[in-house]
Amino acid sequence: MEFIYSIFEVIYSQVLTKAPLLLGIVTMIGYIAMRQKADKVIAGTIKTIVGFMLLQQGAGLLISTFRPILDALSSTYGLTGTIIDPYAGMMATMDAMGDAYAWVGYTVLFALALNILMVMFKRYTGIRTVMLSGHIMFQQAGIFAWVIYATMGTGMVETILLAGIVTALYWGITTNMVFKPTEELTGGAGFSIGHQQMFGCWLASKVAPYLGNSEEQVDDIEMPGWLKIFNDNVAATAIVMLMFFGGIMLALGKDAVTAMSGDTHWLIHIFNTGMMFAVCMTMIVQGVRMFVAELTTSFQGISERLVPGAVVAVDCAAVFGFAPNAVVFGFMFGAIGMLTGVALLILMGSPYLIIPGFIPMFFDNAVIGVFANHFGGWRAAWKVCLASGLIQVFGGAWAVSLAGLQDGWLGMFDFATIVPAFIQGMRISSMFIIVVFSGALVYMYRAGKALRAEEDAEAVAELAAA
Amino acid sequence: MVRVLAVCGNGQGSSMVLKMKMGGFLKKQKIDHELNSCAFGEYKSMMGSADILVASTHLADDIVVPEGKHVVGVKNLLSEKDFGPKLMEVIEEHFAADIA
Repeated sequence: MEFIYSIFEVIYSQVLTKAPLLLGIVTMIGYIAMRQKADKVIAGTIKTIVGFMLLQQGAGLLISTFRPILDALSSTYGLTGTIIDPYAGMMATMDAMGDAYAWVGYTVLFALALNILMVMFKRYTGIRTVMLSGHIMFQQAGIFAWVIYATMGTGMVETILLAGIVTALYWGITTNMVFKPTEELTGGAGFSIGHQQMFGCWLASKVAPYLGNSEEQVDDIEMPGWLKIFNDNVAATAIVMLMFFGGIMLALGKDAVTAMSGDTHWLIHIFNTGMMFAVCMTMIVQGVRMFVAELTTSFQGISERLVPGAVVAVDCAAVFGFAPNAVVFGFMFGAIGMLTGVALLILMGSPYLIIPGFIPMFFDNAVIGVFANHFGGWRAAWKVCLASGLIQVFGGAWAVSLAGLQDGWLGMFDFATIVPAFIQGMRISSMFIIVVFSGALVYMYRAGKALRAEEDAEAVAELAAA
Repeated sequence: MVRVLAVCGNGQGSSMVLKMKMGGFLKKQKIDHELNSCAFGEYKSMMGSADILVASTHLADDIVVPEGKHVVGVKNLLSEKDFGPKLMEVIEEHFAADIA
């Protein structure tokens, strides 16, 4: 008996609470359930584990490279510097939760199960979309698990249950909200956005008609060709980070930088630091891709088997092909908005300094630009994206002041608006979660009613046609 | 075997979805294939082991490939109706031997 117990103890404490091994097992079970051949099961399991370990190494390197600079910023100027970027946010969550990070793995699985359940009962919940962007699901579930854990002080099971419900509601409701606007934009392509700015896209589609004219499309405007360099994620990350960290390190001065750089000339060290960010990012992205490539395949397999008619919600880049010029246009104005926001933060003497990452700067503003352009033309697109850039910075600072994650924050539009609002509520009282659940029920009641009416009307029309 | 590489901005989200959708499509068409995905910044190092590169239209114009390799630009990454005919056109013309 003692022996069996100790086996369970080892499996539990050494395997099921360690994120890489846990996810390896999930992939293995998924592949076995999909009746894959043994070689595929083994390779997939190993790649999941290796991918996650690579991600952890990249995150560790990111911390050891940038924390000394952020610390110096804090001791010299009294500023809390935080990188707003999904991967930096993920790194900060992993760092803050330590061994409890494995909870996030369970949260993702539970939230996905709930999301699928919502779609199974779509006539009552009104929700027909399933979130399937694996790389993002971990980042978001991590943030929600951290918020619940940090504000309520819950243990493992309560954290997973509550964070799972909150995450599933965020996925289900926001991807459902943006489904109709996405259908209009794509001419009925049959998918929705499942990324980090669904609320932002929905909002853009609602305000854009008042800010411009949808007949004056961005596509009629010639875009400067050099902006294409930002298509290359490695170059773009290095440029943006060199700009921000270069600025910070120059502000710290020659002596402080020389103290960090050892034998390297201080200016060369500044350059290397900018490049280093791209190095960490490449490692993290490669690691995430390895484990997500395996997991996404099994997620999609599960969802297709359980809810065949579900609308998949995918990465926002899926709509970029529908308005390529609006992508560059949105990015340009979003970047101006973000730079203005950072300058305003400094001028206002804010204790928080936000360091914008390339991903929120590009992907958020690009997709919000695509929506704003479709519903209000270029006149709406530039205003909306400029505003969204400002919101990302100020909302990011708001979130950082509440979240207790000092090095990184997720930073995308929804995580600069509705998520800090959620944390603010939770900081005031953990009973706020009841307000959130009630709001979600009201949404589902109304969406369910609308969906039933729509489906019944379709059924009648089909009968009439027959 | 036709080797197809799906390319997107960050190599994380849409190229993965495109890869899965193309996998289903090519299987139905009974075409012997191998699929991979990557970021736009990596396509040059990845294309050595690819015959056809598929990307969203906003990136496809900027992908340059040597002779013998082909680029397909797609508007709707999730729709067989969009990428299917474009992909089949290239395959029928250059890789007819792989059609079972």
